Amino acid sequence: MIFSSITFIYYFLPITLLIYYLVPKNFKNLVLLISSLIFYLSGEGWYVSLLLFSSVSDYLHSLAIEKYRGTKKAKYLLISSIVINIGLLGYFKYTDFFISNINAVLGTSIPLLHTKLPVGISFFTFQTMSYTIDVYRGRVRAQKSLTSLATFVCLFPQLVAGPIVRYSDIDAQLENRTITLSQISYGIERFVIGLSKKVIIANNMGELCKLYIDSGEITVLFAWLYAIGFTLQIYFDFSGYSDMAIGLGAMFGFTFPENFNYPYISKSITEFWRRWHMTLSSWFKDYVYIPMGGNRVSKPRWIFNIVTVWFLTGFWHGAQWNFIAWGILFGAVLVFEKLVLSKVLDKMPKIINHIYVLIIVIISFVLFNATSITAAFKDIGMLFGFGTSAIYGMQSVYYFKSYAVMMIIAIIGATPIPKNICDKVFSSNIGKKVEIIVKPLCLAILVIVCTAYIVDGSFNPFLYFRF
Amino acid sequence: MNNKIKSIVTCCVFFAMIAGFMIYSIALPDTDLSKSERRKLEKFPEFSVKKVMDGSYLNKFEKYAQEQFPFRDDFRGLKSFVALDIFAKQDNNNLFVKDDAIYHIEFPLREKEIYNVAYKFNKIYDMYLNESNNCYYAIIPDKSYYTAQNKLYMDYNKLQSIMQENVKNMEYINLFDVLSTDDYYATDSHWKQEKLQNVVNRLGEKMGFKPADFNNYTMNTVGDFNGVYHGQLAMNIKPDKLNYMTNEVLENATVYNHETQKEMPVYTLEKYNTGVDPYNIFLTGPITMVTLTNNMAQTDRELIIFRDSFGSSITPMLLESYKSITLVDLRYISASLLKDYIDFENKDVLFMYSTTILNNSTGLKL
Repeated sequence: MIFSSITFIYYFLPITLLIYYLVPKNFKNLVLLISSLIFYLSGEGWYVSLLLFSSVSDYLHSLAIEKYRGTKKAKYLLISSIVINIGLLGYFKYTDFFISNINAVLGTSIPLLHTKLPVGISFFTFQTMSYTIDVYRGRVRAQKSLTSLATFVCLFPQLVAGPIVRYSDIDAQLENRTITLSQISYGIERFVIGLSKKVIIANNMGELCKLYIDSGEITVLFAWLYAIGFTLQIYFDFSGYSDMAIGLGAMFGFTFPENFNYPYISKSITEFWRRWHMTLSSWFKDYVYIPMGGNRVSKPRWIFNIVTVWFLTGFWHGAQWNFIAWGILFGAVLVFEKLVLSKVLDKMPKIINHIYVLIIVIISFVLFNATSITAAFKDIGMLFGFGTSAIYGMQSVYYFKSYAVMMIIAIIGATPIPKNICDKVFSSNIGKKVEIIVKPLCLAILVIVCTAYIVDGSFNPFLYFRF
Repeated sequence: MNNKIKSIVTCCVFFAMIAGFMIYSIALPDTDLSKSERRKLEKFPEFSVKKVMDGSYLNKFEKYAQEQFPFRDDFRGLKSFVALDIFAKQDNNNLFVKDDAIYHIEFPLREKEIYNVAYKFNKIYDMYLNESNNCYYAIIPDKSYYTAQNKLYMDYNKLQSIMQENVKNMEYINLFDVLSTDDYYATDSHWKQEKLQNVVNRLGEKMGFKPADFNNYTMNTVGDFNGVYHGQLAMNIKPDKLNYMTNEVLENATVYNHETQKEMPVYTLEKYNTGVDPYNIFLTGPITMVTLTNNMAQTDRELIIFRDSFGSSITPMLLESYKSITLVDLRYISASLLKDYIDFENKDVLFMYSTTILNNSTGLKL
C-alpha cells in the first residue's frame, strides 16, 4: 500500500486513526502493530513474515546481548544478529547480482533466483541492526516487550521508505507518548505537503522522464529536460515520502528524524550529503565510518574509509553497477573536496558553488537512474551533445513548453523560499489571524487537488520502494 | 490561542474530509458504467486469501476505490483544469482545448503500422479484386491535422507518401484539403454528417458518381452531444448538436445487418439515450458487416467500403449514388472470411480509414 492512494488516504488512515485514538493508552502500540502488519501484508503478502521474523530475532538477540553484556557471548550474539539481518538483505536483494556477475566473469550459467524484493527491506533491516548494535554498545536498553519492539520494526509510517528511524530516536515514545492537538495538526500539515510533493510534482516529473525514455528523439534539450526532471522527481518523491512519514508519525504521537533539508541549495557536495537522505548518511557514519576509524587514521586509510562507505551507500541503493558507480562517484568527489576543492570553493562566489553542486548532482542522478553503466554514459554524453542528432527537436520543445511551469514551481519549491515567505507572512499579528483560516484552507485545497490527480491517473510509483 | 484554533480547524477540516469521503464512498451505490468515459467501471473485488497474499487484491481494491470515488468526474475535471490552466501543460492525457473544441494529439507517426496497412490493402486486392473493380482508398485526417501544428504533430505528409508509394492498383482520394475543424464535432473525434458535402463531392469526382446535394436533405437534430473527448477530458465544454440527414432515398432504403441477419434502420435513434456512444445512431455503431440497399436506385453500381466508425455517418450520404453499399469493418471480421459473404465482381471498392486507425493498424484483420 502506498500513502498516495485512495485506499490509504480514505480507508486505511481514517479507520486506523479512529481506532488508535479511541483505544486506551496500553493498547495503542498493539493497534499500531496490527495496522502496520495489515499495511505491509496488503501489498507484500507472505513477506510480512520477514518483518515478524526480524522483530523476533532482534528482540531475542538484544535480550541475550544485554544478559551477557561484557562477555564474548554478547559479541557472538551481535555478530549473529548482524549476519541474520545482512543475510536477509543479501538473499533478497543481492543474490541475483552476485550470480549474474559470477556467470559473466567465470562463464558459468548458474540460474538466477528472480526473487521479488520485499518492499522496504533495506530500511527495516538497517533499523533493526542499529537497534541491536545500540543495545550491544549500551546506548539503549533492550526492549522487554515484544509488542513494543515489533511496533518499532513494523511501524507503517516509516516502514517502507524511511526515514531510517533508530530505536534510540523513539524508544521513550514507544513506552510513553502524549498526543496533542498541535502535534496532530502539524502531522496533518506535513502529510499533506508531502502528499502534494509526491502527487503533483514528482509524478509529473516522472511522466516527463518516461516520455524521454519512450521517445526516439536524441537531442541535447531532451537530455537536459530528462536530467533535470529526474533530479526534481527523485527529490520531491523521496522528500515527499519522508514528509508524509514524519507527518503520520506525528499524528500517532512520534517524532521522527528529518531526512531532507533543501539539499539543492548546497554549496558543496559535503553540504549536499548533510542535507540529503540525512538518516542514511548518519547511519553509515555511526555504524560503518566511525567504527572503521573515521578520520582519526592515516590519510590513505581515511580515503579508504570514505570510499568504502560510499561504495556501500551506492550498493545499498540497488544491486546494479550503476548504483555502485554512483556511490563511488560521490566518495571520490567528497575526498577531492576535502583534500583540494574546499579551499577553492570557499573563495568562489556562491553562485559558482551552487552551479558546481547542481551539475555534479544532476549528472549523478542520470547515472543513478540509468539501466546500466553503458546507458549512463550515453545519457550523460547526450547532455553535452555527444551522440545527439540535434540541439532540440519537436518533442523536446513541446515538452519543454508543457512542463516549464511545473519545473519552475518545482525548482522554487526545492528551496526554502516558499517556507520563508509563509513564515514572514504569518509572523505578523494580522498574519497569525489570517493563518487560522488560510492554512487549513490551503491544506484542504491540496488534498482535493491530490485526490483529483490520484483519481484521474495510475502513474503513482514511489522511487524509493525499490531500494 | 491562535495556534490552538488553527490546530482545531486543521484537524476538523482534514478528518471531516477523509472520514466524509470514506463514509460517502461506502454509502454510495457502485456505478456499473462511466457514461463519460464509455466503459465499465471496476466492481468491488471478490475477497480471497490467495489474492490478498499475492498483492493482487490491493491493486484491484485501489482501482475500485479510484473508479467508484464520489464525484469522480468532477475530480477528473478538476485535474484537467489544474494541469491545463494552472500548470499550463500543453495537453492533459494527450487532450487539449482550442477555441472551445477538444483535440487529441495523434503522435508519433508509426511508420511500421502504415506499411502494414498498405500491405493489408494489397493483400485484400490480391485475394478478391481485379481489373473489373474500380478500387480507391481515402484517408480521413483526424481533426488535430488542422489545429495541432504547434503541438506534437504527426507527419501526415509521410503517412500519405508511404501509402501512395506502397498501395498498388488503387487510386488515392485526397480528403485532407476538403475538410476543416468545423467539419468535426467539437467534443468528439468524428466528423459531422451534415458537413460532409465537400467530402462527398470529392469522392464523386474521383469515383465517377453524381454526388448527393445536401440541400435536398432534411437535417434532423437528435439533441446535445457530448463526445468521447468530452468524457475523457471531463471539462466543461459546450456540447455539440447531434444531427442526421434524411431524404426519400434513405427513408425507403433497407439496411441488412449481416451480424444479426436482420434488417435495421439507417439511424437507430434509441442509441442516443440508451447506448454508450450517441454517435452510434449512425448505422447502429460498430458492426462487422452491413449492406444498405437503395430501393429507389437509378443505377446498378454497387460499392463496398472497408471502413472504420467514420464510415457509418458518411455512407447514408453516398447511398443515392449507388444501388447498394456494403460496409466491412476489418476490426471485427477477418478479410479471409469475406469470400463467404461478398461477391466483389464488378463492384466499386473504397478503403476509407481515419489516420488514427491507420496509425494503429494492428487491429485490422486479414
